[in-house]
Amino acid sequence: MAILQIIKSGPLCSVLDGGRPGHRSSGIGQSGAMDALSLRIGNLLVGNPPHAAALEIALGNTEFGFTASGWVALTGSETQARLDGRNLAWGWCEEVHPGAHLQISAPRPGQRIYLAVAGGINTPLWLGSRSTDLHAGWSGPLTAGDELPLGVEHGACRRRGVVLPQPRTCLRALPGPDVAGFVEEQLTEFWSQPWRISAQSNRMGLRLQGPALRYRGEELLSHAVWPGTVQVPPDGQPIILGAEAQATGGYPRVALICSADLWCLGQLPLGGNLQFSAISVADARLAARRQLRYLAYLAQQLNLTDE
Amino acid sequence: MLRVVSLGEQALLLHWPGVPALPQQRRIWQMSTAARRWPGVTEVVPGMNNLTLCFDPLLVDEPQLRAHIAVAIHQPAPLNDPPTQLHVIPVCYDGPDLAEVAAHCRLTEAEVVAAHTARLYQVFCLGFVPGFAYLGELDPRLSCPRRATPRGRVPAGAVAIGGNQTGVYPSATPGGWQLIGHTTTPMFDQTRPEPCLLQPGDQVRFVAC
Repeated sequence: MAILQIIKSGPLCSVLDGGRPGHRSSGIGQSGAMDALSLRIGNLLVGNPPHAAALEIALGNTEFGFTASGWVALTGSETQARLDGRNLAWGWCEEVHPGAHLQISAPRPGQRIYLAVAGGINTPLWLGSRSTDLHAGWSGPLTAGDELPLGVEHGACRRRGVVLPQPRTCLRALPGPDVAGFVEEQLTEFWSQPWRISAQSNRMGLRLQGPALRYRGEELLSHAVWPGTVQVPPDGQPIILGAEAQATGGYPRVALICSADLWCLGQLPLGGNLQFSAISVADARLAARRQLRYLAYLAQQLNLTDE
Repeated sequence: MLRVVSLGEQALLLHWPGVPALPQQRRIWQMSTAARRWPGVTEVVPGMNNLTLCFDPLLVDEPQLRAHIAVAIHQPAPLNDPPTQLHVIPVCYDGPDLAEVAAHCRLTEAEVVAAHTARLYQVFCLGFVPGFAYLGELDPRLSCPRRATPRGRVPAGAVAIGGNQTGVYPSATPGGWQLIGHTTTPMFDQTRPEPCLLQPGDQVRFVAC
């Protein structure tokens, strides 16, 4: 059985896949890769199903060993990577041999790297997903010495690459259901001004810094939330919920990031700025369809069929 | 009056006005059961006075869902609750906030325990963390505000009161409710096919031990 050895894990290297949506009514969040687009592209490159489990590397330098032959791909935020001392290109499917040693330099805080391996990472499933869930106590960050079983390769890999998409810093969003509780001037500010991404941001959400937004509407009771929901807690500083957000919340929702831009939440650097841009439902769905077409086009160009 | 609003690209939010109460929550359970059967609905999440429906826009559109809702809302109110379980949960009433709660409610600690164990609660909905059940209806004499500063860590099994609600923390987590006791009954177990012990509609009685 092929094994992926964790030689150096950094503090935040985890097994993540497409997540486990559909269990919010049990208080269980969906988890999954913070940048699902980069996960998907990596899986396409190595011939995996789109939501197969890969490693999400969020902090620190990492090193990996391979016990068997296989193929890997690096997507997401580009840093320096060396396979047996040789520089690796980002967005390429590369062959590894038994005993291969892969070193990846740390991403910038807030940005993430995905290491996809042909066959996927074969750790135990819970509710159909291998993703960690810190609230439920399922799995967790990896440490040096961990050994991950790999699955069987799905498609015939060969050396091929794609140009990787660049994240937007202007996130398209739909107005939230609680906007009536904010005065017009504050909403105009929300949509027009740059927000700073605080260093306290993580997989649970991006905490933004800027003028305080004051909610004057009625108190809200527990309701479903999901990644991309923009909440305004009592201190008036918006939070964009991330992949590891809880299943429900009680803070007012001022906006919802469109599904096509969610992947950017996993790639915006901490300390940097972002802005919001209002989009209609029709345009949000159009953007989502365009993204699916882009992935289908990639799959075709890589001579694969996407699911 | 029920309000139905669009929520993002592929969800609808149904919002019932007013204070959460059992008759209204029965309506929410009834609508949840109906909605789970509508083609194109991918997720149904009951809340305390609301219901979220997620849908696949390739299979169903908003006007179709709103039409389903309009029909469902006119169904007669359910006479009975859905088939549910009764859970008897032993509690050791030794929480760090018990004295403070008693003082706030102008009761003795024994009276707080008596009032908490006297009621038969129903699970309104789950949320917050895996397996956390929002229970109602709390004896109004026990109503007390959340802590001004939430605790960074509430231990698993803590039995708590927050506002007009009561519940059990299934796992260690930050929390702002007042802790009046603890139970060793596991509220959440990943190894079970149904990991959450309590389900919406279930009845709960606490017993002092």
